[in-house]
Amino acid sequence: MTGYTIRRLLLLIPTWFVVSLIVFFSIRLIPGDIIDFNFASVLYLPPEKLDEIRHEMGLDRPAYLQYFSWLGGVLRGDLGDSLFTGKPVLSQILKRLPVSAEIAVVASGLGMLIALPIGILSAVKRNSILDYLGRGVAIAGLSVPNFVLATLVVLLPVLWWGWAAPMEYKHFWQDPWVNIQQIFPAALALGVRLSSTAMRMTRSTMLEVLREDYVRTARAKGLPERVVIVRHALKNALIPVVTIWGGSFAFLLGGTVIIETIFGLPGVGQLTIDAINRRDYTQFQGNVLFLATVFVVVNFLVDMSYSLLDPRIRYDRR
Amino acid sequence: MRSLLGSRTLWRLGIVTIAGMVLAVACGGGAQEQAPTPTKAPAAVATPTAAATATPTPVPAPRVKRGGIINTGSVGIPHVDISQSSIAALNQYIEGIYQRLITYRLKDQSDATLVGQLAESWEVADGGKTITLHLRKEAKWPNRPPLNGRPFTSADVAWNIDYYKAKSIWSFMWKPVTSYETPDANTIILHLEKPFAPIFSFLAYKYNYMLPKEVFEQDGNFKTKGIGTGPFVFDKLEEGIGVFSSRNDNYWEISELDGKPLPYADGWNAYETKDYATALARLMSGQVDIVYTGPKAEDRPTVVNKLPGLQVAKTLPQRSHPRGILINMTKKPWDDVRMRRAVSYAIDKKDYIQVEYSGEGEWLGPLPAGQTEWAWSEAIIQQKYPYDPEKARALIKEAGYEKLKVVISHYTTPSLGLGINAAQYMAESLKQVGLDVTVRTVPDVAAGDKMVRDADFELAHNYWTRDDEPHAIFTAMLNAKWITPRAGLKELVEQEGGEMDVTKRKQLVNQIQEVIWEDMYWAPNATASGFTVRPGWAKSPEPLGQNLLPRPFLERTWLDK
Repeated sequence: MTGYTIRRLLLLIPTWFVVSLIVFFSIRLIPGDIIDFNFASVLYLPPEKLDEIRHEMGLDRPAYLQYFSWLGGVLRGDLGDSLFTGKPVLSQILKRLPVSAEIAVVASGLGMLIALPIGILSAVKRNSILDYLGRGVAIAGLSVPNFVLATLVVLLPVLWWGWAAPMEYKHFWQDPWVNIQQIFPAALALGVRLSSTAMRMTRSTMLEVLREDYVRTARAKGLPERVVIVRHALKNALIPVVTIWGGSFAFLLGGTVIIETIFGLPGVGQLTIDAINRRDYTQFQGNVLFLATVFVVVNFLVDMSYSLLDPRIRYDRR
Repeated sequence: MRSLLGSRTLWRLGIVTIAGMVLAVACGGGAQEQAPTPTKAPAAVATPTAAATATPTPVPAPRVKRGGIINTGSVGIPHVDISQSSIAALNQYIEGIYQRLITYRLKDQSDATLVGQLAESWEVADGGKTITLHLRKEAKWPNRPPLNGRPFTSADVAWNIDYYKAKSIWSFMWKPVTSYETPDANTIILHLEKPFAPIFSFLAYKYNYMLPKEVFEQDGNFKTKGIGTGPFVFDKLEEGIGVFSSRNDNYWEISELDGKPLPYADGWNAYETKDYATALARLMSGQVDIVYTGPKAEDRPTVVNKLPGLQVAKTLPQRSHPRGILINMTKKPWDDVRMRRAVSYAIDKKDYIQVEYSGEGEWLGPLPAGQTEWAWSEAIIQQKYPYDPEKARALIKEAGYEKLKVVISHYTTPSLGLGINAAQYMAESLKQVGLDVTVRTVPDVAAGDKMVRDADFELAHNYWTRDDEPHAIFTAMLNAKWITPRAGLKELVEQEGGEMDVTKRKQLVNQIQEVIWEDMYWAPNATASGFTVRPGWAKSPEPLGQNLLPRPFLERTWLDK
């Protein structure tokens, strides 16, 4: 187990470097830079002045030099300053991370809360109307894009009840009720896709597990059906679901990019979209690298958690 | 039996969840089916121009209500230093914080008369080379450190001239001023090397605010402190959330309704709202008090239905942003005027407005329609830019470019509201006259601006400058890499810039527009009419639609909730 863990940790290093390369150069593929965004309408500003500003910001240096300079900073824990606001990138991320994390955690929780009962029900009542209904809902959840669902979640309450989420964002510890009103709709819109995937996975693994000998044995012993399902079948069926769940947490963090913009929530996702639109290279690079790091770390932790769920899984070579 | 109990619990859970999701999906479809698709504005629409010209009838003065916070939307700002940024959202916010020496009156939208703001009056002497500005004695800075309510004086103007010239990206605004004198605290005399007609437009320029020198001396910039002579004072900026301001208790303007200082409201919060659906939801739920870019035509009846008493005002398109097909004259065959004219003849503006703006748009000539004092009237534009596909076909044939492969580069920004439909419509129109057209989408405005600046296009669909002064637009035209101006045009523009007589200057502006039309540097199309909406509880002495641009006049708005 220790050897496997070390190998996996070492593998994170090249992965992280490749990500940093992609992140750094992808934003530069889009035409225009922060100067174009900031000073486009200053007709009388001579091009030399624009070049001077570019020079001051270091944007006229060769891209590879900019990359190594940025990478050096990142390795020292300095993600640089935002080209747009001039504030440290890391502080911006950390300031906004709680919002995105809260959305992702609640979306994740909501997703599983929806997925598990329906998935189990579909498996237990296989080929019944409930099963078809559950599968239909799962397909619908997968088919409807997040942003469409998010738009419905924003508009329907105001059309039906004249209600919209409060405008001024409050953290949970500042005003729990306002926070719930702001986070819950966004998390719902984000969590539906996860719930659909998890629902289908729960159903199929449950069906497999329910056919296993040890389940038959449990039933033969006269255990109540609820105990058979929850204690014997569900625990084993959950392994692939947990894989999806763990991986999806990082995916959900990425999903907040659109969701936060639609719901007007000040998270890392919204910050990323703004950074792209403004060609705020440093902020974009910092955000994506940060999210990518979260992604690989969460995947790593999920892999490690398998052995806890299933004692038969061992990573060490014998 | 016990196992059935567990199953029931699962059943209930499942049914409730599924029902909720199915309901959400089903209702989404239902809402779409029921949505009306009107092509006309609702009855609540006010026509400001008509209001301005109607016979005045004595109306009892409305009773104002003081207090409350005005909530609006915003697309987000990085800081509050307007002297180093051209971001439109920042300027829209800063309008409430800082003030200019002179500004546009805008009693109605076609009124571009210049009136004093921090300068009460002014005189021109020496054939336009000397301008004396008399400052408002009652104007003071807010009661906040480091200004602490001191009066606004000519020394402030002098400091601003030096600051803008030396340190701001907006230095051009003060470039024509070669020196100044401050004979007393309320007078400043500006000296120009030669007469420069747009000088007053420059003084009233949308970014020419009087900034507090103490803040710069303290911080070295204006990024985190917004303390101006305007009706509101900046409190805080919360990125991703909004910008918060409170009433300037030292504001100089007095309400004609209750005889007390403006503004009526205690504060103004502009919340970041970047998504259209969220903007609609916030409006319909009553959370915002004024929306500058109103709902789309198809959504307006729904909004009016949700908010009885909603005021909707049609506004002229922006003064800036000449829109159309930009034609890169440096590339073949667009150096041939017949091809450029063919592009103009090929486009039916009436259809274009219907397709792109549900019929709610304005025809454009060489200058933006919002520049009412300079731009051609719609009647002239209709006559000058007719839809004549036969003529377009003939011109293309004559030039020998039938079946020519053409790429239209399309770029836009949500705030400009130009969709891909417009570019597709242009492409179809050009196909109809025998060209083989494809549309290339440019990601966003930053990329589009770079493309235009570098002349990296063949035909481009969108706007090409963001200025609101004809001389500035003409100068940009002369400097554009994609335009090859005809001989003598530069001199004509210089002459226009130096003409202090307004009537004569108008003639010159008109003459330049004729050249643009003849040579067809760009083929103008149309732009969307704006709609500003305000719920019934947000009130002001003027009908909505007046005093809208360039600033919302929030100091004259009160909330009667």
